Amino acid sequence: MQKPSPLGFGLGLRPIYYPDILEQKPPVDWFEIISENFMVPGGRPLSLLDAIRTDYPIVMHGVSMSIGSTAPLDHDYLSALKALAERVEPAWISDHLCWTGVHGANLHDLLPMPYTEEALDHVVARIARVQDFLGRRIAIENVSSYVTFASSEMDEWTFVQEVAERADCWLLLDVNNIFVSAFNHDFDATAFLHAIKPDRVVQLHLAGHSDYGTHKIDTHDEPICAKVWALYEEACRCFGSASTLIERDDNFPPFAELVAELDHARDIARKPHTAVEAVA
Amino acid sequence: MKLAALQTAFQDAILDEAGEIIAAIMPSRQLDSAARFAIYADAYRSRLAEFLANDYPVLHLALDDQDFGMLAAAYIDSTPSAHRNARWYAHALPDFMRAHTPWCDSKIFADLALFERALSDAFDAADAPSLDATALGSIAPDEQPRLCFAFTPSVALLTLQQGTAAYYEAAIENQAASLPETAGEETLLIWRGAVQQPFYRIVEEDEALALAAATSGASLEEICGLLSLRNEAETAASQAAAFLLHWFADGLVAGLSCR
Repeated sequence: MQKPSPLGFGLGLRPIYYPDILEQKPPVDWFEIISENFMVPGGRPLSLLDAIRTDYPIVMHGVSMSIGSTAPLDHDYLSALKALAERVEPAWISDHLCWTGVHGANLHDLLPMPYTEEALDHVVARIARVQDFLGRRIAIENVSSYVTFASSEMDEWTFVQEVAERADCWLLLDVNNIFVSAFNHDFDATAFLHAIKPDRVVQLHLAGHSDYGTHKIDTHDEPICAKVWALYEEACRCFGSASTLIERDDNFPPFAELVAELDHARDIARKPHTAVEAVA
Repeated sequence: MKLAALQTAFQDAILDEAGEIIAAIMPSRQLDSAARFAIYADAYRSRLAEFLANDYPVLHLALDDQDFGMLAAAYIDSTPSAHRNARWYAHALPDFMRAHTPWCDSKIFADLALFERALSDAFDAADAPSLDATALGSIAPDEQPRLCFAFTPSVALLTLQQGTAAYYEAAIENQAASLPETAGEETLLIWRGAVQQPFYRIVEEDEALALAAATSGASLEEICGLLSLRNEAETAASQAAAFLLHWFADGLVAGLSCR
């Protein structure tokens, strides 16, 4: 099982930063696109992506594969995803361990799975079918969640690791999502990291979140907080050179601030690694 | 609860605010089950409202926050998203407005929505290289009357309330503007032009007639025939030639063929 080569330290590609990227060719190792934003007939988004990908490796990250849904797989969506991948030639393709709707609806949210054997069997079979269709392994990302289902039979990390092993897929571990979910569900975030085998992990996500006191929500509209940086340091100890990406989707700062955050991630990843206390 | 039943109940509760799902959710140390579920239910409506506001910023301005909020709430209630891509969720808003009170009672609001939708559609319409006027040199003079035109996929013609474009222009430049009140109409040509940005211009009646015919597949001879119903035949021919050159210059024409 040969993992894709590490890409280094990347940023989410968002339209507000196109001028910075095209004019300055900033020191970012790679960019991650939201696949659906480029699943359009034509025009500027696709042509700018064509220009950017001549200078930077690209990863495709989707939000609506709905891999955990009990609705049939959407072959129109998967065909469009495959066509985009043929154009973009991404280093890999990822989406979330969640569902987005059933019965023809799409709720435009990353809805949580119950951690049951039934759900595990279901999602493993679906990932295998998607990987067969796309002709490549995909990476599956853990989501932030805000409810715990009474029917769950195992920890989230057990579910995630089992999905990766049984579906033979990669993992994209979102460190902020682990932190947010650890708070919302009262578990030890480091226990999550330690339960995941490094041979499946190809990528780490970092982002900011909103803290409402009683719960945290994954909003991608704030700088990465100190506790998430601390958890990232532990993730680096666990997963070594996994490619790292910072997501920002609102309250956009000057591009230089994101590059500075990326430099901070580089500094952490290069530190000699020592154990840390639980951070959630 | 089985996975399929759980997902159906969860979705139904988000769409219809039904309560059956709550028993399937455990409380946290700080939130009861209903409060935890409400995070998803609230996010659903606010996310769709954000899509609408992003896609129709001038309509939002014209209606103000309260009235746009009412419109968004009515649209969200009537229109669960069936799209994987958020880009398309708000696409049917102008049609919704034209079919429902109070928005169908005031043409200008639905027309602003139609205009903003057309600009978005032009922005990411399919690519097609445009021809310049030298392409006409390949057409033999005796074939020219039978000449037909293929237009780039971004080209659209809209007939809207007079003053719609002027109000839109003022709004996006943060200038004060009054909503148009005249009963007249204007025809707008919208397309994706240089630097891949949407462009538009108001076209006069004769050009609108010629463009509507040309985009429907009419030949040059037929276009001249239509124009000659409104002008002298000689004037109609020179008009058609001028329009044609303008369309080439704007980058609207993607192909030529002779019937």
